[in-house]
Amino acid sequence: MSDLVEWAEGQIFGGAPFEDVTSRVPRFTDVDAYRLRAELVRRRVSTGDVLAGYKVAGSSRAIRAEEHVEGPIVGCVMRSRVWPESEPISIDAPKMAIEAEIGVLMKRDLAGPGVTLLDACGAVDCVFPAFEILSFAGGPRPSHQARILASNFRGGFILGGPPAPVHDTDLRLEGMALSINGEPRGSATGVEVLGNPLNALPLIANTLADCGEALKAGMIVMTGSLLANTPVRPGDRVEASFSRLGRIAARFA
Amino acid sequence: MSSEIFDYLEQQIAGTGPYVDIVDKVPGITVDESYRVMLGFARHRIAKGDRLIGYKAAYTSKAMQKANGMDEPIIGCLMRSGLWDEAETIRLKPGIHTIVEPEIAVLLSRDLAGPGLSTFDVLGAVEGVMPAIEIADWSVGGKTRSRQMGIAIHKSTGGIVVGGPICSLKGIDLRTEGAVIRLNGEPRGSGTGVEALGDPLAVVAAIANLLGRFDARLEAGMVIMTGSLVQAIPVAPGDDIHVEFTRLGSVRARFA
Repeated sequence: MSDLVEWAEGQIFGGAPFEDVTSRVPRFTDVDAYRLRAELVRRRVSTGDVLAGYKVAGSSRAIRAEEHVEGPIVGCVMRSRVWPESEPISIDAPKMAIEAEIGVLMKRDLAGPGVTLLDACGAVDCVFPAFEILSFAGGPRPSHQARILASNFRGGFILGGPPAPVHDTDLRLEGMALSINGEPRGSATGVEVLGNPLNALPLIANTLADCGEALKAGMIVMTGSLLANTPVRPGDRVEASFSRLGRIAARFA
Repeated sequence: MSSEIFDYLEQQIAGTGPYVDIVDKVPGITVDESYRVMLGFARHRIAKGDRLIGYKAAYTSKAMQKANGMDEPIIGCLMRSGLWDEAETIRLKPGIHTIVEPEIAVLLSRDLAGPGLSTFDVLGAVEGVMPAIEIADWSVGGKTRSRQMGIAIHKSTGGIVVGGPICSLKGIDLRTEGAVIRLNGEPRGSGTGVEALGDPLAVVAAIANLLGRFDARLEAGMVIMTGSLVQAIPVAPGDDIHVEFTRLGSVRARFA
């Protein structure tokens, strides 16, 4: 196992040429990928980073249709990857893109298996507008397992405010309009995210249960993009306006 | 305006004869002349007992304008005969391609006479807003019809369903008001008011300004359909369309 961890660290943090984990380890499953990633996270934490929460990738109808994702992936949100809203983000990859999402702050632990949407409703402290910034390395398309392993040690997250209570707010009907440099670029409601963004919570808790992890009080959850991801370029100012959750902005340099 | 052109339009809408586009019937007809035909046709129908209850706009989203080579929306008349009740089952015409679109309907409390109106002028003339579904059919000429034909018969085919309750605009930014459209319970699309020319109130201003070119105006009590928030969805007999808004409530249309 430790050889594999070393190899994976070299792949993800050491700039080693890409090799798909499924070609290195025969019959490497999704659960194997989640377990190996949890080990990578523990190593990051031992060097001072913090596991701030989790995210779901591939949760929106638009993205599933566009990227042919085999199913949602649960990714990590590391503290070092949460960036302030006020500072410009440098474009430092061949392709970068942005996704507007609804973020959740956990009030209580949520441990699978068998977590339901009702369990999730009682475990939410508040919700807020958020961005995920995607950074694409280019190269061949990785396997599902390789995507799990790398999710999410690239790119970053911006969390907006003010936090809103989840009670009386039907997130399925929460609208969001995305604009770049003032130009409307698309709109949708929360229904695009697994039918209800809060469905991300049982999905994450139940997926993590397979590798002995859980959602903890105080963690944040990025529930997934409402729209297909939107490419960004230096100089772009991106703004997402929500019906009731307020707005969030990001600048790129 | 001669009644011959109205007889021709009635025949085209009824589909009793072969399709003849208005650009072939009236060679050289311009967009503005088509609007005069449309307004004359509405008056013709009023004389026969119908009522003008408002106006609508189409091609209000950037994507739709680009796809159809339009630089401004097309407006049309809403007649009483095209207003369906939510409780009714709407009978589809056999062999006709019918589509539905979720929209925000604006009920006016005051007259609005263009040109030169902005969204701020509209703000003071809004009685309230309501969730609505537009039902459009492509019976006349299908997708090959000219822009002039589209205008001349607008919106003499199809209809609208308006839901409730009527909501005051206070505190609601329509640009971020979201809508989810479900076909037989399954989500089929979502969007917000920004899709309607950036702001549904801007559509009301655009309609009033365009009508100003023809000495027509929006009147108190009229309902304005401000344009679709998602891509149009085709419907078939037996379909149930349900649209839910963030704060404006919901509206349903059932087809047979």
